[in-house]
Amino acid sequence: MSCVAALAMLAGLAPTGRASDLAIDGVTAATAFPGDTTHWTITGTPGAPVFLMLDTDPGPTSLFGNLLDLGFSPALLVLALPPVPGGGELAFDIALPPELDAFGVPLYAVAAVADAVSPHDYDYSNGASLTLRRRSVQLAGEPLPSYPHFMFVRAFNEGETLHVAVDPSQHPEVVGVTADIYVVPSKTPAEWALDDTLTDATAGGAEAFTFVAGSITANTIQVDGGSLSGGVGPEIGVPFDVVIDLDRDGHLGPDDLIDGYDDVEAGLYIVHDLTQPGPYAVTETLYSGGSFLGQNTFYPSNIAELGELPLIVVSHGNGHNYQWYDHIGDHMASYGYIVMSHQNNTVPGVEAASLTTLSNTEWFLGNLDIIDGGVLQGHVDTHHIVWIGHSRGGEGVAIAYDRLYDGVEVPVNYSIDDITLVSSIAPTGFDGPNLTNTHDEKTHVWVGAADNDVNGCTSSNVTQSYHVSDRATNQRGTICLYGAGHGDFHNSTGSVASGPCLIGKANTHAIMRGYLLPLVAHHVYGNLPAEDFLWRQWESFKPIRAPTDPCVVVNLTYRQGVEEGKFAIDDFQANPDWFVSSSGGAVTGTVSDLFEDVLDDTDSNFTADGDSMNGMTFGRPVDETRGLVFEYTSDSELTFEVTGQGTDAAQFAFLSFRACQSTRDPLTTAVLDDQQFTVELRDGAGHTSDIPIGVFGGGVEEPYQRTGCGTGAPGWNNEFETIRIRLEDFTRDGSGVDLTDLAAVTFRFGPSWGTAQGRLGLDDLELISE
Amino acid sequence: MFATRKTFAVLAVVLALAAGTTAVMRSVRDDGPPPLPADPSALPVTVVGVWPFTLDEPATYWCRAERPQYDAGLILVLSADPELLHPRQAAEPVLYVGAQTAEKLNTGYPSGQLVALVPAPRGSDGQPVLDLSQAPIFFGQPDLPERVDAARVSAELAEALSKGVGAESSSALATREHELVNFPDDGDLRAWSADLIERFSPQEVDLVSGLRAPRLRR
Repeated sequence: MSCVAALAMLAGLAPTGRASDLAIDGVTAATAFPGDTTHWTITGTPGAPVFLMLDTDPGPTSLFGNLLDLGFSPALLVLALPPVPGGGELAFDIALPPELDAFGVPLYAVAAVADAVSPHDYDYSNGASLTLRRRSVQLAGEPLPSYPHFMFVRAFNEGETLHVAVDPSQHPEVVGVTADIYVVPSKTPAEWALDDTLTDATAGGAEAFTFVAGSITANTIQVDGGSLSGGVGPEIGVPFDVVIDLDRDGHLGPDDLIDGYDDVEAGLYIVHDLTQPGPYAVTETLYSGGSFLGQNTFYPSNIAELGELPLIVVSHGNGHNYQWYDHIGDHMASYGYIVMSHQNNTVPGVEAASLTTLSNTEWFLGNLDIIDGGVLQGHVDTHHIVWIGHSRGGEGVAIAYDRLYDGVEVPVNYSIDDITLVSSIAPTGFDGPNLTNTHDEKTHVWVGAADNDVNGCTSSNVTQSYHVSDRATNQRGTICLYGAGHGDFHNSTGSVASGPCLIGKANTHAIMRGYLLPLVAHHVYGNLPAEDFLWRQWESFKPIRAPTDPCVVVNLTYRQGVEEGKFAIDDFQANPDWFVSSSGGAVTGTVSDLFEDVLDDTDSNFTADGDSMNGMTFGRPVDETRGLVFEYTSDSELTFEVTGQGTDAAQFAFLSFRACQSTRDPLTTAVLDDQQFTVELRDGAGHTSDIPIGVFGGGVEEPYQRTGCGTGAPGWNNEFETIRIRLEDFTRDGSGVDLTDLAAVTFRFGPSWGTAQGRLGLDDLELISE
Repeated sequence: MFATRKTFAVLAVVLALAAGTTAVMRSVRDDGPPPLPADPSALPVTVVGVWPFTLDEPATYWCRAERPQYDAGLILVLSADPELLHPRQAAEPVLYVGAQTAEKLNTGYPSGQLVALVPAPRGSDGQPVLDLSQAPIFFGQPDLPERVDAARVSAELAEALSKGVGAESSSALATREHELVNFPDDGDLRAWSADLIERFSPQEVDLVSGLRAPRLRR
């Protein structure tokens, strides 16, 4: 019933006093988990009709002389209930659907009970509220050296110590309680309902711990020294839940804390070494379907026992060869993917290459019955196709997608919806956004900072790889390997590299194996622990046997897609004045030389010669990718007002942004280290909480120290890195920050807050979901 | 005591030098493509061999903006400066044969021996018609061949001729011309070219094996 209708229904009712009591689970402010059954009681005169009014707006509203604890918003719902029974109390149960997900948003209720004396008059009850709680809370993670003292994470490498922490300010009910902490094989809520027995999976068994008041640091406990297995199968991550058994009864009870009470996400995942081969032996086959249809295909040798497997298509670069990607084919096929690397027509150019990607994908899918005797027939998941291209082929796959997007090409054996990810390795940039454009497709780019072919220098758009990723309008990511050359990404001879601290093929391939697998697994299967490898700072989290060579520096960016739920505080794509964010909020600050524009170095070199966007290689002048640059030499700040949907930050999980240092700038070269600064949240009541980004490991990397492409101190193109901070971290230890009323995000720079000086680029300041 | 300190000092110097050597080795310029000459047409291109060909099934010629069909032409083996042939992802000097672009079938690096395909119309006898004694072979300005149209070809040819780029004599070419070869289609032609690449640019083993991949037919 609408608000208007409800008011109309009640319009003729005379004002009366409050003579009815409403309670939910015996209280007026109840909380419950999805799937719980709540018990409601309404008192009144026996036989009196009852209406229950529900709203998300708490009011109060003055109605007929009564001040009702209800907002009467358009969301108002009025339920007609049975009359009050003989005992004078109407009692009933409401089972909350397990799929409810309106966490933290109270539902307010008021009952209207017909007056005993005058049946056309109504008594109104007190207001009551029901708030849906997440059954699952964050418990597993890693201790940090300073505030926020603990980082809740999803993925742990096999052999890594596992910690559990509880913030008493968030869970005061644990203070003084001795509980048993279990790490158990993950279950869904339905499985927990069938069997709530707790069986610890760690070598040491459940850990007893007495929680105390104070900081989370006093309530952090190591629960495993690395005994949990990451598994030996093709999946990434073995799922576990963490349960704090507060009543120590060995069962998951309603008052126990659990991390991982979910149908989809476990509390944590133990991940084996992703740089090592998977469980399947691999068969490789070489054949041709004709002109530019040479294909080198890899698949699990036991494919007959497997179902439909995703297809990865690899399109090589100019002067390269389709037999140079065994490191991709062997690795991914050993984990249950089919990899087809094809002859690519790169000599004419990138458009011809794009057509070859399209035609090879088409031919492959249309000829499964004759490839290797038809063993692949019925085993290719044609709805999950990943396109990977290298250099000209890297641009070619983006053009190929654009041709599908524009309808210029209409394949028979697959469609644009079947393309799951486009990943370009050191792509060229011959064409602009009209042709080389993956639009809203999930897009990824690899860059070797020592690339001596597609070298990143601003003397030509052709040699700037990041155009491909920054044109992607939705989910996108990048990985940059310092010291890696153009040839290091394939497995033939030659690194095609220039610069200091070259890392060579062995290191590059180890990084590729350990990163490509989670990249594809996350995009194809939605694998959750895989995502950690895409955004957590390399310095703090990487595959187990990732290279330890001191020359290896890896920068990651990862921007979540809109479909996953997010709010862009400022992505700089609207409101071109720097002092107004793209979401319409005010931007203020004391940093210097603020400048917002296309992320494109406007001259042909990296010389620090006054170009505000010096070192930015993310677009051409006609591109739309925009960002902010600024500098500081003393304590300074930059504040983004949060407006609209963003003010209720409790509905999001992380604050995310990407930042980079400005190459060859004197403020950069004077420090030549990771930039450190502090992020502060402020709520509407003025409560603040500060977190230095360095506490999570790493910071914002200085540019690769390569010479050329201009003069001056060494330094190559600006390299963005994504920083994600869990919003809950800002509430740690009772900071008082109310995430349901977020007012501003402030970046604090300078000696009191991190690095003493610097010149930075900033983009994609967002609130994102888990 | 002094001797010991001296030994340590020498050891330290040796270690420092070794470390420095390692650092230098890891930061030298690797095998990237060299800078291109301002005028690629100034570098000589000589004909090593000529194989006229015909196709039963026409194919698309991707090295022209117009994307014409062709069913005949010449396979050329050319000799040129290997550094000019160093493969690169950025634009390369476009190879011209008279008033037509030529498609490089191999990189020609580091051998300096380039196998190229140039389409030609068929004459009344069904054989490709392209008089190389009237068609200077040269490298033009860097670009993607798929962007080169007829006007651009004319301009490049005129520019080359103005610089004195000429064709080889008929008599000289005659000694290098081979019998006509016919193929069902372009795929078979390219597979056949593997033999030439193996013979003239033997370092390109992966290209050869890739071209020789067994063809699946229905």
